[in-house]
Amino acid sequence: MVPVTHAFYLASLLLLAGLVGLLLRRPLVITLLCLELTLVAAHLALVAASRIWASVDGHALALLGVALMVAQGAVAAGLVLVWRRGPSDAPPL
Amino acid sequence: MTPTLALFYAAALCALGSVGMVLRSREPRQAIRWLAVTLAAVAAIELLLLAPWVAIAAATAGAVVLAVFGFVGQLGRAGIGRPRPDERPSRRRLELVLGLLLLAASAWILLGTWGRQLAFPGHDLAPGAAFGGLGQLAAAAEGERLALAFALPLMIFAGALGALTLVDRAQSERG
Repeated sequence: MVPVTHAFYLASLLLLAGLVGLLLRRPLVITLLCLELTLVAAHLALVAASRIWASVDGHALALLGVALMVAQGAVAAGLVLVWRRGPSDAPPL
Repeated sequence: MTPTLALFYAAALCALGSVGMVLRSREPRQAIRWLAVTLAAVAAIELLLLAPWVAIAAATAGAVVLAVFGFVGQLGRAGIGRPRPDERPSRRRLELVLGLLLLAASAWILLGTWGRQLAFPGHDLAPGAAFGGLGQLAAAAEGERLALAFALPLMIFAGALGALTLVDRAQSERG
């Protein structure tokens, strides 16, 4: 059986790495990838907590987090493209 | 050591190693490849934690996100995602210091007061008691709604930080 404490430690390390990348790395795509990493850490923590409870509540929350990760990635990519095209092409807010 | 535990440690090492490579990558394409390895390792860990549907959803979602970022990187060979010369290093240093202070304050508030009261309603620690680390948190989590106190604030915090990063980058590149 996998010790849940170790899963929490791993989630914390992944979150820390994501935050370090957010603060220290300059390239925008790498910054966004590090942001995705923080979300991966969050849903790993939810899965581990769900194992402690022996219930699927945490799985449902983790699936919500996965959906959030995809939506955030798509919106961020769209923003990057609009921003790089320049203000003349940007849609009015 | 059981085979399951050995697999968990192997996947965890793989995830941490590839995260290190993501942080060290110079090219976005390289970082995307290493993040794919990380996501695969995390999906394997979720499978070991008996969450197969979450693992499948996370792997599929990760593939979609990485494909989107790869597409964005290909479109912008001339500039998207590449580091630009830092014209204002003093401002960059100030951002770093303020960001670290913000992170430290958030962790202190979350772990020291708010998260503790959410995670242990009715059995709050005595005033001045020290926080005993993640081991104590995980041990005390049985029967408590720890994940709501731990993971949801992290997700909200990560989203807010991402929005701030995008706005800050847009302002510093344009202005």
